[in-house]
Amino acid sequence: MSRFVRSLEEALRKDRHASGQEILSYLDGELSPRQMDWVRRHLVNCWSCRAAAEKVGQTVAGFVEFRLRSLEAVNVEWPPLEPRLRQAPEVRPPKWRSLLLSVGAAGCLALAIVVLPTGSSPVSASTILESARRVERAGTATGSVSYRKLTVLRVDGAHAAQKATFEVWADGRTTKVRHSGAQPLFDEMQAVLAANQRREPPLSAGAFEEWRKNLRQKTESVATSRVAGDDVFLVTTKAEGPLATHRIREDRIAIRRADWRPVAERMAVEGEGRVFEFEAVEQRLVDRAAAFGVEGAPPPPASKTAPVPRALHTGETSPAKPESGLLAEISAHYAVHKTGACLDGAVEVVSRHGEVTVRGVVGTAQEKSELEAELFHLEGVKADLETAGSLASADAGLLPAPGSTGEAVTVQPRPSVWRDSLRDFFTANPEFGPARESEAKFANQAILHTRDLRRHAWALRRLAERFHGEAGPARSGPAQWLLESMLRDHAAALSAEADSLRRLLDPFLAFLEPGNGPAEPPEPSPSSWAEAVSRAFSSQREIETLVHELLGDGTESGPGAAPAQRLRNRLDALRQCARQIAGLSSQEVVP
Amino acid sequence: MSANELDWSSGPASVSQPLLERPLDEAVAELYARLRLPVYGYVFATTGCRHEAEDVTQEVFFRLYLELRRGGRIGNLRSWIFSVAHNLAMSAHSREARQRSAEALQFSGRLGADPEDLLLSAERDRKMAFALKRLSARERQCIELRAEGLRYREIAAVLQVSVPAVQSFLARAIEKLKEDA
Repeated sequence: MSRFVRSLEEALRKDRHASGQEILSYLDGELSPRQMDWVRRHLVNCWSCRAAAEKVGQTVAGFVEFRLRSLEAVNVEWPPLEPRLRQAPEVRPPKWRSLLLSVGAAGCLALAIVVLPTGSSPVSASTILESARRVERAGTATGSVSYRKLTVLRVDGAHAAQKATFEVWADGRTTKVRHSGAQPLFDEMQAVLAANQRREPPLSAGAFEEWRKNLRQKTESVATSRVAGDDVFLVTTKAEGPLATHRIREDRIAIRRADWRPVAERMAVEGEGRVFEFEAVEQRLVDRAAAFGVEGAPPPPASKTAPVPRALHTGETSPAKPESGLLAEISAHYAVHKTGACLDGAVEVVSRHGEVTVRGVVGTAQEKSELEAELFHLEGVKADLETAGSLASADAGLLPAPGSTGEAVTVQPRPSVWRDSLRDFFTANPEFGPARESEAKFANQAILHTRDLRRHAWALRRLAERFHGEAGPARSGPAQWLLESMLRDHAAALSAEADSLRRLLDPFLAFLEPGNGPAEPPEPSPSSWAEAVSRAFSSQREIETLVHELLGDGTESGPGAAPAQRLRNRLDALRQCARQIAGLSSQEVVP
Repeated sequence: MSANELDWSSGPASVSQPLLERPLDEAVAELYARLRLPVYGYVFATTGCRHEAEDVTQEVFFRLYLELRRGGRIGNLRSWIFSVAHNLAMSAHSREARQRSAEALQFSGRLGADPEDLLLSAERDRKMAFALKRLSARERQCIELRAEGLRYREIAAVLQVSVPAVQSFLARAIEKLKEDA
């Protein structure tokens, strides 16, 4: 019985009518051979479907005739195309034959990189990219910083090329990017990277590999070529199928054979109605891991060994040698900086007779082990650390962070001439919550921001006192960049904390002294980074005094002193100093 | 020579040899003369605006010229041209739609000059014109591209949809035209 039912069902399934979609696809020849055969045989047997197919044919014919008549009726005076073609912008050299001609703002920067495939490669794309990734990972595994400077061109046939410069610092945990040049290019580059789930700027073998692996359909080729006199592998991956705007259609990356570093990359990106291209070229690379001779980088494929990348294209001096005492000292400072131990002032870096020691007290055993791990990889640096969780002496008199211990906030502002004003403010603004509780929370937050300002200002000052006055040439490239990195981190933190404090205090300051008073005249630009740090430190000290005064925790200067406006002015001055420090270029950091 | 008589199958090399031997601007101008009408028809069907269709048509061939001049390789000329036309038409269409919302009366006034309306005197064409207006934008784009000879996968590439989606759009479009025309 069941066999009969199955055979009946099979017969019914086979005898079903063809759908309209199947008939149309059959007529268009767009079915698989098996489906084509089934529909053809079915139409032979089924009058109903054959009639439907004829009707489809008639409809198609009717539409085509109608369309042709419509087009014939078009009465357009077509403008000639030739005049427009003659006005087209200058032609660029053919793709990848002589590419990457840069048009710098001053018109003086010219990248003449010739990437012409000269032969096929026996090595697969996966092998090449994996080797390049290993080099990238080795460069950041120790937490050291690599620095790269890239030039990126946006090439669009209909428009003049745009150029931007990217500087990338990477230490394995974070990547910092600074750019200059065309802002739209930077924004578009960000959109392209986001659309392709790329977390790294161009010229990253890891990012290329991730993008490539996520493609459903792709075609690939590997060739050998030369870029700027170096032998390279040229890996080209092309995405097949429809792609949305900002997706990368084709990416070609040139990886130098000597050290497995990507040195040029060209992405063809889907745009609105056409494909445009980004060309990225490495201008400069300083890899601190290589400078220290850290092992882990795979050997180059060629017989000649090149442990240090020959990537300093600009002909600058080589990175400092490992035995450089100053570099070791700054590296030790950077390790302290990375773990945050620089903020508490209980850890110091001492350099004597060419030997660097990091000594002091850190809060917990975990912090100690983290810092020791950072210092472990630094040659010529010793660690002498102790733990003392209770030694938060610098913060002993401060209020705990609200909610940080899970306990109710019980801090009461001490009596001051402003206390009544503070209470009046919260009474007049019930949206902040019960006056008493809000008052304490407000005071806590303000003092915490002030404390963080102080920690960063002190950290900056310690760096300035130690390294100001060092002769520029003595500071090697990596040392200089590490120092820059620390300065910028603290400056950014100062700026952010000052912003937060200003936002917190503004309503209360406006309540105290409605309307903005006279702003201070802008100070002249500092002559050195150390001077900017000194100014930032002074501003921070004054801010701290004023905040404590306002909240009843310090010496009162009396209502006539208009502390609200002074506080605003000092916060603005601090933010300006922080911006100046953060905006310093490498040259300016060298005194 | 109509668009369908041209061998599109493998890009510029498939265009007649004498055309390729000419200077690039002349060759593109020749292609423009041959192919502007089908491109215009497609863009007009998408935007519903004669002026936009004219502008977009010329822009398509201008971009083709730039692409060929800079050494770009075009795998499939037919797909490339209609892809660029489609994207430009969609941009123009959104611009046009914004204007339409503000100037609905002006837009309806322009309809009287379009070629479809010129053929309303014939009953069959009138029915077809109205049937076409019932199609969704995608359905209309699919049958326009199919009428230009594009295969399903080429249509899918132009519209950035899947091949089964193209099959479905086409089948629905034909079904609607069958009902009304």
